[in-house]
Amino acid sequence: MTSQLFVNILLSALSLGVIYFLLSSGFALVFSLLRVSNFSHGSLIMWGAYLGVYLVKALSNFTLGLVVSAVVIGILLALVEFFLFRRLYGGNPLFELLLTFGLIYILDEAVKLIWGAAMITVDKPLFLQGTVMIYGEPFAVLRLYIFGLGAFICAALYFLLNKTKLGLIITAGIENKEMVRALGININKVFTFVCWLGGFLAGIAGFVLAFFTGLSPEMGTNQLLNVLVIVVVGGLGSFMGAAIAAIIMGLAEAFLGFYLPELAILSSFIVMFIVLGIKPSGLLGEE
Amino acid sequence: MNILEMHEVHTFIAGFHILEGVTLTAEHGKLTILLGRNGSGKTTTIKTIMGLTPAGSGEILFQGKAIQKMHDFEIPWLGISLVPEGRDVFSQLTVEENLLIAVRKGKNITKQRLDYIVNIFPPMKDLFKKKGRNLSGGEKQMVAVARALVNDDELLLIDEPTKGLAPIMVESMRLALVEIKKNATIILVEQNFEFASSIADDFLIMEHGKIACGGKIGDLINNEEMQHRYLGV
Repeated sequence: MTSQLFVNILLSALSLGVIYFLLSSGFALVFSLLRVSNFSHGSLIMWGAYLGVYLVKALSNFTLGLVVSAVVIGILLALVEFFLFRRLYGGNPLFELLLTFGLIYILDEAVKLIWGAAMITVDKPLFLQGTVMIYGEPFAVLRLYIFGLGAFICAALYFLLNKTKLGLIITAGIENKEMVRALGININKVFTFVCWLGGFLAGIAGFVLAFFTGLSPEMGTNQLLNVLVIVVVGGLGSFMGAAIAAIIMGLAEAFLGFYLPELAILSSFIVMFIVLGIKPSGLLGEE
Repeated sequence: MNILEMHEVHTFIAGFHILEGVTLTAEHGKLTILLGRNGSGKTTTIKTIMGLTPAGSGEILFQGKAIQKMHDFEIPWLGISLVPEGRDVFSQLTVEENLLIAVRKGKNITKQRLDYIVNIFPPMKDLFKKKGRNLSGGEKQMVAVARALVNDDELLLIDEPTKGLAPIMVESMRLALVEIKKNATIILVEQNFEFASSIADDFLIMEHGKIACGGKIGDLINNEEMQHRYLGV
């Protein structure tokens, strides 16, 4: 392998890892604080894609369409937390499973009613078309854009979680909700905000995914397995663990795809097998 | 004047009747010690005052105001702080962040308050950048008490601060509580009678989810029969 080719695969791997990070970060964030496995996360991703593409056309503004759609998906999940999740905290996890599966049906059928069940291709805007030369190899502008977007979101989340009082509350709440309440903090409001943020991230992830897979009612649920594997490999409850796992998944898929293409489809499970074999609690999960 | 009163308070946890009609008073400016054998309901009493295990019935008055129906997160804003039994220092946060998260008004601890805390716990000044998970048991206890001091609250509820501590740390904690009680009312849950009797003004003894008896600490110190009967001393 030439060094140019290596760099090209590495950049592709990293941008794939960033896409996985975007897809899984909302799920990981919600799970880490609320301990709710939101299986409807895939459907929120799908809604982010449909709504984002629709709003970009309607508003004739790429960034505004992306942001408004992500904010709306965030509000949707915040409302779900306020009216539905909140009734299940501390209860039987089976109810949570039934609720989030019920949401999948509602969200998926709603998309079919509004936009139809057929697949829709998504055209890249002009400024995301073409390639740029990096280290003598062509690299898609779209992937570079996603790389930048992912890095920006990762940095913003890192700042929020580590450098603000809200971040301290979220970190403390993940560890001990009762003590947070005993300090005079309304943890329920924090739960709602975290769900909004989780939905916002799902909205952005869906929009980005649309450029690769097109729009289809199954596009989100197809990614749910990858999301779950990333969250488990990162360590249940660890947001940063999920971010690292997503990058590792991207690297594994891209490099296995080059050297052993027949195994590429199994790359995420191979990584999971190795990581959990060495550390059963995941990369950054508590023992 | 009573800062806190509980009248016939019943608390249920997971269907179990834990507090079976607790009636007590805590006088303003005093350190009241809550004694009793394991499982008598001391920690549940503290948690019920804080709203963490809400009262099923009865009345809890803080400075004359009924608080038993308030949300748990609203109660600290009245001027009540908790030092829980397990310390519950957040392991992922630094000591400084553990204090910062407890500040209710504004974003930072005032310099004056910080000096007051460091004056009570001198070793704290070297711990600020240390993560909670890297602290020893004694250091965690210091941080847990310091966290309850950042807001200058009227009432401190402190649950077993000497549990698992080395004798030298127990003595440090005793000196700290003597200093803290100059500016706040304290209700202290404690199993260590020698420690408790050296700093308390009043006592309450719990048995089977009720207050069995109470009074001035001197009366308990001089009554060996009562000590033996209720505390096994």
